Amino acid sequence: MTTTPALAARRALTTLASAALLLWAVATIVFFLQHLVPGDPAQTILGGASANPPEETLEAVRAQYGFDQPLLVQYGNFLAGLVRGDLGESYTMKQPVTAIVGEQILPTLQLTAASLLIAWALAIGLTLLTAGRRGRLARLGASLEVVLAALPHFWLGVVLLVVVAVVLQWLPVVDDGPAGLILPALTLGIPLGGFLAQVTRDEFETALQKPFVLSALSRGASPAAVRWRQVLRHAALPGIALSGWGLGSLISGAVVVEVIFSRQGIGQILVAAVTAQDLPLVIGVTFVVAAVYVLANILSDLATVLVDPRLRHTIGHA
Amino acid sequence: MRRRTVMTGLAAAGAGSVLAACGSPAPAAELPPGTREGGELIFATDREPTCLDPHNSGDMPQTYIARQYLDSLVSMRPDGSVVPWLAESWEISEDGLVYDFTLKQGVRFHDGEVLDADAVVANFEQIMDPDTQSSTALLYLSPYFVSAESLSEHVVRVTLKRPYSPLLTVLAQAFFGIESPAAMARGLTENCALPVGTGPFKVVEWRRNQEVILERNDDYTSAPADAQHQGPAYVRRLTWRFLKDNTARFGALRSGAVHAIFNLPPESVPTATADERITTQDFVHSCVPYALDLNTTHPALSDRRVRRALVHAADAPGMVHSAYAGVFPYEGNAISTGTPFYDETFHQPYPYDEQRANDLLDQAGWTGRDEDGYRTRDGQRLSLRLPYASDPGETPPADLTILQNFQAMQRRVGVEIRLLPVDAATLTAIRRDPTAFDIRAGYWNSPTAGVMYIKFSQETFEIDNGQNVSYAFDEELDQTLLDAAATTDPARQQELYSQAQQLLTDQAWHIPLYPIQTRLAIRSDLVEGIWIEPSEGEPVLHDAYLLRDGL
Amino acid sequence: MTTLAPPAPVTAPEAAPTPRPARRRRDLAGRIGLLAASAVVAVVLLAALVPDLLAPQDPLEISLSESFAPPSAEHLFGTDQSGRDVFSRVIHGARQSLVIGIGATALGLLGALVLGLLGGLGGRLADGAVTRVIEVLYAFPGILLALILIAVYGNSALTQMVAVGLATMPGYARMVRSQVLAVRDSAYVEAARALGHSSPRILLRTLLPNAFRPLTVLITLGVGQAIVWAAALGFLGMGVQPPTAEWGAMLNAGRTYIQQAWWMDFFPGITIVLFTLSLTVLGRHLQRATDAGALR
Repeated sequence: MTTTPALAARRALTTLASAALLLWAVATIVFFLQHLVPGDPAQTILGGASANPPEETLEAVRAQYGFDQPLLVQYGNFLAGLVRGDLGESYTMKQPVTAIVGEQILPTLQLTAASLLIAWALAIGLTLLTAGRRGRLARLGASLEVVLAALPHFWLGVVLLVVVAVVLQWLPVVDDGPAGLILPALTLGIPLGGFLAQVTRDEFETALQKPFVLSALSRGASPAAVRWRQVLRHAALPGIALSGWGLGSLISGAVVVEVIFSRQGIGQILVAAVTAQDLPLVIGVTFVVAAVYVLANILSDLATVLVDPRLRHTIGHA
Repeated sequence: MRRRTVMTGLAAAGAGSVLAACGSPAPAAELPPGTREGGELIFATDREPTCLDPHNSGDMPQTYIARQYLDSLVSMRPDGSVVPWLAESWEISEDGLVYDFTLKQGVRFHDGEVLDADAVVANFEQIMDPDTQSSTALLYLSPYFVSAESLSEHVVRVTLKRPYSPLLTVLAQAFFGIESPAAMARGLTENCALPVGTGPFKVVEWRRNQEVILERNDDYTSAPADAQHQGPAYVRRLTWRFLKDNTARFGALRSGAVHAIFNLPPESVPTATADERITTQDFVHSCVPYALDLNTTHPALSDRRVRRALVHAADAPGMVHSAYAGVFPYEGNAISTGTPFYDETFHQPYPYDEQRANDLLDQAGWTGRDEDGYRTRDGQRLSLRLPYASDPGETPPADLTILQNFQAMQRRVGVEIRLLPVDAATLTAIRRDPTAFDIRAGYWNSPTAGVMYIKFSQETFEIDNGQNVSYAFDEELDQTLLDAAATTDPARQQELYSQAQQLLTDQAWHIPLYPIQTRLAIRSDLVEGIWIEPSEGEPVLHDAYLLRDGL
Repeated sequence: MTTLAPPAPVTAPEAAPTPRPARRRRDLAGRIGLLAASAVVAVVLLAALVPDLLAPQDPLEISLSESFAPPSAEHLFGTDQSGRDVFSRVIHGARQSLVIGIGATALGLLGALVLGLLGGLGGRLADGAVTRVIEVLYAFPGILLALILIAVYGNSALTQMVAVGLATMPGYARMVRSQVLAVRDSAYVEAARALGHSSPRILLRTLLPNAFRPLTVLITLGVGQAIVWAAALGFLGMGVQPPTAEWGAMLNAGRTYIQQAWWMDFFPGITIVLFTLSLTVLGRHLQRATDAGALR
């Protein structure tokens, strides 16, 4: 049964409102965290390895950035800027945060997309090959998934980098193009793939026992076809639903991976910003990441609904 | 006398031709057959400058890159003499207080402005202007500089309050590169992002955290007299890339993604040596070596016995050797082997001797012990704070290892060293606050032995901007150094500078570790013609040319 | 980093599928696996409690002449760039990682308990508020929250604990809340009320134990994840300062010297992997044993 357009529209609006509220909460939290920092932002702005700013210059910077205004006024300005799309200026890079994030987000998205692809390929491959089969193969597959999921990014990345790029020299150490994407994507994709494989396997094996499989087989469908079409689709459902969360996990992992492989991206920018206490940049990156994450979850909800019509009623009633 | 240490890799042939050209000025050279003009040269370095105008601040990354787009008045030769550059000739008065520079004619800045005496005067004024927030350049000038004025369209007169014989070598650094007055007038922010000079390359774009893009100045006519060729650069485009991570930087060199790198990581030296395509060039700077400066305002450190004890307790040569995998030399003197008038008598003044350290500490009254085994006096633990930059680009792993080794060794004689990683802004604040730290690591590059005055004099102490890190001075030392700056007789200079090294060594205000070096690794199968100039170890890319196309 | 059950998406149905171990007969391989996992966990716990007992040498004592020594009888895991014994440092590093991992999990559970009880028992308004709070915490993927807190408050052990705790809290809170809701309306509670038991007694005797049961499994997996996150922070240089032994920081240092001394990176890394794996195996066995977390 499908829903009426009015109901669907209302549901969409609620979702959007929910998301907007969420982002506002995130922005507010991060803003107020900034103002609890004991340090002097003027020093960060004028600082560099051998800077020695005199007091008058520090005063001028404070006035320029409005650090001497009451907190609520600054918050108001911040929100106003946010609505305009202005996230302020980075203390250390002296450029608008939106410009920096805009530049840096593309490589990260490329990385997460490639990693998600690899994770999915791994999960589907392992499940198709080893799930529901008798004996050793199934157990091997299951164990492999657990091991892969337990590999920490910061270790796997270094091992891959050293073995493949430095020692064997099969791939370049640093590269902006597709060749440089392979190892980082593997680093992120393999553990996630292990995890997704576990979930998919569960659903797959449960689905294999369902009556509709038996009826399909009795109608003459080959076991392979059954595996592929009916069961996989059913089992992929939770995996798709998890992709939104998976994206968040990937972005989180991208922080470490971009540092290891010296790739451009918001992960390594965030690390640099935290190291330098460049708070507008920290806030800006966090906010954008949260926005992307919320968006991804909304999209994966939609995808779930598309794949399984039975869920169309229940979405939005969380 | 000064020595210059050069280390080359297996492919010595490539390096040989580069070195030979350092000596005499060559006329416009023909490129060897098979090489082409043009192309893009990619040079990767580890540290990114905070500002592209080297008059501001004055950290090393600024001078390295500024050499490519700024010319200076004179250029320094390895033997300490200077040759003409933007200044064709100069006259020095008898009393050493007045310098008249005659400028080269027909030189224009990248923005079209004319290089004349007024422009040079504007540069000096900008350096002295507090709004420029100059540190390095200012510190050189303020003890000596009175004024700069235009005597005529192409003659500049610089007047000093005291004679300063190293002035010419100081002016050879890119820190004193000449910039367009119109560009400087835009203000610090704009000038930091896009400075304008007369050099072989011009800055096109600065992509923060990534690279600076420079293009050839096709109208370049002002190469220094000791350049390998006169006239414009060979390469059409220069990309100055920032690859902070050691593995990434060296990996990029090996794969050919970049043609040359600055600061070959010590752990990569064996691989570089074994690779025939890679040539290395090493240059020991004239400098006060990287050292641990002891803040004498701390009650324990005001006692010379304690300071000497710290030096004896630290196996400095061992620490440097292990942290830098044997690649960096140890230096125990107040100045490096690359500094003029270096006296090797003071190379390792205090041998590693734990017993002696313990005796000295006992003599100084630190005889108590607390439950953790650290020494105490009147109930106070002998504890010293050592803050350092937490950014691994500023404190590379090897330096961090040295700090940890230092801490472990001092622990053996009962001294507690607290290592405090802090971010850049906090470190800036700490620099100017003598109560905020007890030991700080640092160095000071300068083409002259007068660097000892810059770092340790009463005058610097009184400017109170934290450059005299030990917060100490000695009148006899100051006088010796001033006398050395006043005389031009080399024998007398050697005598006085040796005396200064003796005095500094006696005081043990700091624990020297290793000299600053410029260490380049170059793909000699891809590029030729890169050399290192001696005033600050700046890599010179004006004479570089590519050997193969399509890279 | 992916062994814990993930949060459900913002607007999707309650149930977050937890990977369940396949239903098969317990066999020898399974038993050996369980034994090995328990042994690993026990050793690491011991290392955290009494490192001096297990570590042959002082983790901070340097020996410059012995730097970069490969694994040998005297130095099981080799030495690092200052000649320190890597094996001793790995042993001592266990305490750092475990303190933060367990502390963070404890904080996360405490917060989850408060939130979950509030939401489950407090009526529609409270429940709505709690759901919003959980969503906001979810919006910060993994390590991001930790990084922000460290940017603001510096990198002390407490900050790391709070940061990682906050990151794990929403997952637990959601579970506690749904359990509380389920039990609240269950037959047990009805019966207890009918018998005239007081509310606090119902709370303590019936509600809490039932709400907590599924969490016992998650805790095992959660501690593992918290430890990995803590090590990641150490790896990025935001953990304890050197020369204190900490697994993540050791991996960071090992990365620099990996070509000369692969053992500096390998052994701390394999320790983390083995420990996380063991926790996962234990967790799944617990899960099978209690058969909790089934929301299908």
